[in-house]
Amino acid sequence: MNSLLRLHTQKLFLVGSMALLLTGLSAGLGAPKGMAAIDWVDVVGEGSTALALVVWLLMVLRSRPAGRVTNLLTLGLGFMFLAMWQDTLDEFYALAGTQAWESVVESVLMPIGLGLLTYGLWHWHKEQLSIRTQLLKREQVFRDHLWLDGLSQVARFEQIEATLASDWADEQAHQVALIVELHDFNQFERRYGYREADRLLRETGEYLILNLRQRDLICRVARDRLVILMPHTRPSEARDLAVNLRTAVEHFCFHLSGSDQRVEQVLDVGIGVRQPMDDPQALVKRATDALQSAAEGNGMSLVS
Amino acid sequence: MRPTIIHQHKESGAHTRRGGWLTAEDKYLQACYPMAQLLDLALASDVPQHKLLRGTGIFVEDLAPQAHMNGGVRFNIRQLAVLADNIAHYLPQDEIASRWGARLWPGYAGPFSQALATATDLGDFLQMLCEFRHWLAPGLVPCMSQYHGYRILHWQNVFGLSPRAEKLLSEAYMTALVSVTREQCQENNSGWICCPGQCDAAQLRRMRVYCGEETTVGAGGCFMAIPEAFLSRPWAAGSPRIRDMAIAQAKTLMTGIPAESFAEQVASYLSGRFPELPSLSDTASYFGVSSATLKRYLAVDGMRYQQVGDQIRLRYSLELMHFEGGNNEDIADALRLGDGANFRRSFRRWTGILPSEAREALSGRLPPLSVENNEDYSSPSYSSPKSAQSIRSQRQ
Repeated sequence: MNSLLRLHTQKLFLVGSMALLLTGLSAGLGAPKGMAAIDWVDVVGEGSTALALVVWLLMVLRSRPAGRVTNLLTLGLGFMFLAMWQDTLDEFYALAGTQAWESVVESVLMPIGLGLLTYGLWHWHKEQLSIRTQLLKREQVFRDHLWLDGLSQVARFEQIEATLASDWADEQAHQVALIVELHDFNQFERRYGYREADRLLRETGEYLILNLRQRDLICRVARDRLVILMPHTRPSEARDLAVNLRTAVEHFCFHLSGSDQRVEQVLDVGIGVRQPMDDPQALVKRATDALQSAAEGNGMSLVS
Repeated sequence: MRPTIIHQHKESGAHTRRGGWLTAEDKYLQACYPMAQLLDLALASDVPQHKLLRGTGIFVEDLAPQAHMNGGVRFNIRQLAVLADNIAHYLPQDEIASRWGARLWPGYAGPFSQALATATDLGDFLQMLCEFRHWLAPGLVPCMSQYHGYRILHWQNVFGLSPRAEKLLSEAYMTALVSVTREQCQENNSGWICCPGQCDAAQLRRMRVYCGEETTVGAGGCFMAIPEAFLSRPWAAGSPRIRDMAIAQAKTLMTGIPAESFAEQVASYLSGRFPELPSLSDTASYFGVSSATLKRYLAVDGMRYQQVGDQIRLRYSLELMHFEGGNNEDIADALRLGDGANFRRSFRRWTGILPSEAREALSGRLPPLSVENNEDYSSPSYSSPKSAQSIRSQRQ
């Protein structure tokens, strides 16, 4: 079973047992309708709605940790499902007019469910806004879960491409692009192995994010190569920020697993400056050229 | 050190004995050889293990320490090919091929790796790589030639790998060569050009990070062009004495395992007859078997006779096109393909692109380099056809 779904077994048990209870009550207290009396169009319409609600419920539970928002969404979807389930059962069992509980289940649970779902979604919206603040430097204005990089937990290069393409008309928006790499990451990976290299990438990514401004965007190209976009930043400012990043990484303390050994890191930074006839690829290419001369020189280079 | 020819082309019929060649079904690769590294990387992903190992016949228990008793579990090239195909299918965005390549050599393949680790220079390294190719770069065969100061290294698919598996392995082996040279030479591989065949934008971006910004797509084949100057630069950890001891040990491990696949033997024979392409029946009678048997032997490795011939012609046409500046007519003439239009059609059938597109991809990127020694070099058993100069002089 999915590890997140395991957190919600009680909720699933509650919804499942209530659905069974309703089925038992309808079967026990009502009389089965003959095949001729069943309206199959209603069965398909109401049954598929109930089924869709169960699928939504499972999808929500599979993707969320426990908490208030999850409880509200579960209750909302659960009540709506039970109301639709009872509606479907109606098609198979005829209940006498005295069975008032049946109409209560159908008519009351649905609005209660809708109300709880709406309240839950409002809280979910607030939760999203706070998560968004945390993700800002990784995604800025676009989100596509397929762009999330599994290795470093920052977005992949497609995010940079989309951002540059959308803002390119504004010449002041992206005057510079930075490409950074850890000096000798290849040697590090060869010496200490994939697991340590993965951890170094993840931690360096997080550390760089901490040292960027709110409006900056960081993405990974491949291996340890990261691209940073600094909107509305002049080349001289970008150079100062790059110096800060390099200094920060020099003080970054990476300890190897299972030992006290510290491996110092040096960041190579290439800064590409946008020229009038450039397209986004040319800017990135210029930053890559700058990175190459930075790696061969003193660790930082600006190409305009 | 300048590489020398390791194996001469065999003209005798001794190697035509049934079972005298390596097939994709022969289990000879120990689990601790490159496979374990690849499995390590793939199994660390989120993709369920049963999907990655589907159809490979590999079980994780095969990699457990107790499985290495009594010689250990051995794998064959077919299993590696299926694993590579599964990885490329389920993890298309991941950098598994490049990351595997970045640490692949010298690696953990016992004496084979020891020999690589003590290579005195890149030329020495390539010579060993060719000799132990089925252990160090299983699945693909490195095939070398030399033009105007470049050592050209083609990665040939002689085991009928799927395009996805071929792409993954070629990316890994190219990365591996760049990575080991950078480490041993302590300098960047400026001037190297890696051409990974057809690949998407993401793979090209990735390969440029791993193999250098000169990496180019759409040149028509899967090859590397290495300036000859790199071949003789001394490597930091070079030690001829230890290397020779390791080579001797490695050869004892190879005892009883054929050095070549059947497709390689056929390719050697065809290369020797180049630019003529002997008929299937002529080739079959050279190997002392019927045409049907020859086709069946090739089919064991997923190859066809025409495919082997086409690989040789494509390789040679790429060399003429990119390194000799030959036009369609010249190449058609050299390959005995009739006129330029015929060559154009054939090239499109082999690669899916036009010769003009392939030329455009590397246009102006391969200036002739001056070299002290322009002696022709051809790689081991899967040797390159005759040099362009000799073909031209023949025509004249």
